Amino acid sequence: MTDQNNSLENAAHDLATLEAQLNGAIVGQQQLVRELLIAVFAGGHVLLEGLPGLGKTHLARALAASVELQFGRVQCTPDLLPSDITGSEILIGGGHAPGAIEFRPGPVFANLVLVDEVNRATPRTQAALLEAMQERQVTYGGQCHALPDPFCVLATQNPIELEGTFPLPEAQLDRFLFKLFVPYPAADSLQALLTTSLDQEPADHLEPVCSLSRARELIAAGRQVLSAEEVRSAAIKLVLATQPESEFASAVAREHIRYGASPRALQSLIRAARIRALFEGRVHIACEDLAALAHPALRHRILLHTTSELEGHTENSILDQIVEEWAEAHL
Amino acid sequence: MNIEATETHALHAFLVAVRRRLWSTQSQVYARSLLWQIALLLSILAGVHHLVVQVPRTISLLGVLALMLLTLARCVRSRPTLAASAAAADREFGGRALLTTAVECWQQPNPSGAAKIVLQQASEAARSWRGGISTHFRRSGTTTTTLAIVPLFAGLVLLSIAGKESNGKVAAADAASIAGIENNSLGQSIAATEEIAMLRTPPADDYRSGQSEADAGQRVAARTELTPRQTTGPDVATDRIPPPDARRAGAGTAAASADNGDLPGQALANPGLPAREAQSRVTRRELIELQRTGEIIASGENRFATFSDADKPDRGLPLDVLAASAPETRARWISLTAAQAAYVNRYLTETGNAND
Repeated sequence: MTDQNNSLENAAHDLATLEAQLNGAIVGQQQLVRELLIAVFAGGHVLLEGLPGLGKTHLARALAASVELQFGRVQCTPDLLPSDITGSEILIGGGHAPGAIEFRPGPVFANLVLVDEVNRATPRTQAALLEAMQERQVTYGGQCHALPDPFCVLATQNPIELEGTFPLPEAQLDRFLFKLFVPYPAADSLQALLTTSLDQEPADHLEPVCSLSRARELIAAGRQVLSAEEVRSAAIKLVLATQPESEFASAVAREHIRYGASPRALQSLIRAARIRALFEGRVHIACEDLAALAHPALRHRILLHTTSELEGHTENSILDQIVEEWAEAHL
Repeated sequence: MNIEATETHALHAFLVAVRRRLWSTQSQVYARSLLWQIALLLSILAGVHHLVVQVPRTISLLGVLALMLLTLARCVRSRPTLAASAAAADREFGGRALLTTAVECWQQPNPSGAAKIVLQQASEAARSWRGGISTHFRRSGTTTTTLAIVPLFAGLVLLSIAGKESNGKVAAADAASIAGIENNSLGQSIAATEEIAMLRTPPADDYRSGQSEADAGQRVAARTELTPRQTTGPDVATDRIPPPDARRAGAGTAAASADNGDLPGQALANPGLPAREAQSRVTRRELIELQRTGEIIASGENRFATFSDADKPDRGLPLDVLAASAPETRARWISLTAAQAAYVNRYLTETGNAND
């Protein structure tokens, strides 16, 4: 119990240290770094969407270096096979018994897996990856192989060059805790970028500031963060506000949303709010945490009507109105 | 980590103080609402009393009491819980659900490590916020409360005026008319009656002769057998006339009495009638209303035309015409003071027109 209490009390400090190191390596992406760390320590997976060259791969590598995480990377192409991700069995010889078959784990067997341009992989390959994300294990040849703990997938996708891609279906998008947009850096950030990463990659020179065991403790500490009944009720109402058929649905949702957020979205919201509370030195979540994480947690879980999309509405703009309306009653 | 009892005590004391503040603020709202409701009720009752029908004071008191009891019940039910007080304090002090979570942790039999941390943080926050309760939970201004007293006072005044008007004026005028009789001054009695009615009367007719008035007054004084005690009985100064239906019932009774040979005026003084009816008074308001409806035509010297006549809706009848009218017409007299009834009765008797 004492260790748990110490873990809770030092969590804010450790998380702040980690965040500071990443902000030093990735310039001008403070909010992205914070949300990424929240998702990782909440035990979830992240879908990163951004234009090429914004540092998505660099961010993943910096995170892996800072937390002593095993890092794996998969570059998706249309000819990528599921076994290229999960691994496969090979026939081995030499000193082993002839005809022996050994399972060689794929790149998914890492603590932090970067899957670049996941929308370029075929649906079959996507399914293999998403199964691993959900089950945290790989089944090959009738045998289950557990994935490391912690296990986090950072999948990226390009918002342009959509020809020949296979967009992730909504059911599979729901498995990601967050969908984060990687914004274009500001001018001063680009100045700093030239200073820090013109001739070298900062991620290559980062020292770990958080051990793997400490990372596990922080993940466990997040599960101990308390949530009051009032806050849970507020979270439920926020998620139901996106459901057009719900009694708590907002007018905007009834007009523009075809399918709202699932119960998994509610779980994701609470889990993420816990880590955000830890970042701020609290061991209880508040409605402010829910409001701050509503967009990353919900934007990829709602489906708009086609007419609403043609009118120019986006998930973000609809969520802006829903969260604003919800905040009037709960903040 | 051990949570000392004093820490939870600090948190509990803070939440109790917040609850007390919230409840007193809410109670003030209820009290202000009650004042407005009472003011409205009294104003309505005063209006009804003036314009429609007499409203007994017990009805007013019962109405006020009912409103007070209802408000008290609502006030008691609105007492906030500690959890609601915690939520309010979180909103006001920016606690971000700290106190709300602490209240839930409080109720756990074996609080976890995180729960103990929350309780500790909540107790520290409670100590630092204790002094700011009055600042954050300001009571609403007294302006609207003061404003509510104005219509309340107006309602009370209206209601009390309604009572005093009917009692005071009639009592004063009746005392004057009785005094006139006692002083053998019929003119004073008639003037008092005019004052009651507040009606413009036509020029005096033949009956305004002072000598005949004096004679009439003497005859009244000699034969009415009304003593000052009788004229100043407890009901004289304060009684009011019964409502029109009762008056008509009384008049019906008087008509029956007339048919049986009793004089209409005597019918009013007939012991068979309720004493209140025999000694009732006509208030100014009722006389005006009676004039409007045609039941009373005029009052003035020698014109105790306190009944309606379809042929002469706006002119008083001389007493001789009155005496010549049918008993059932005379029986529709509304009310007269005992002295006035006695006078009319005496006049009719002496003129020999009592029995038709």
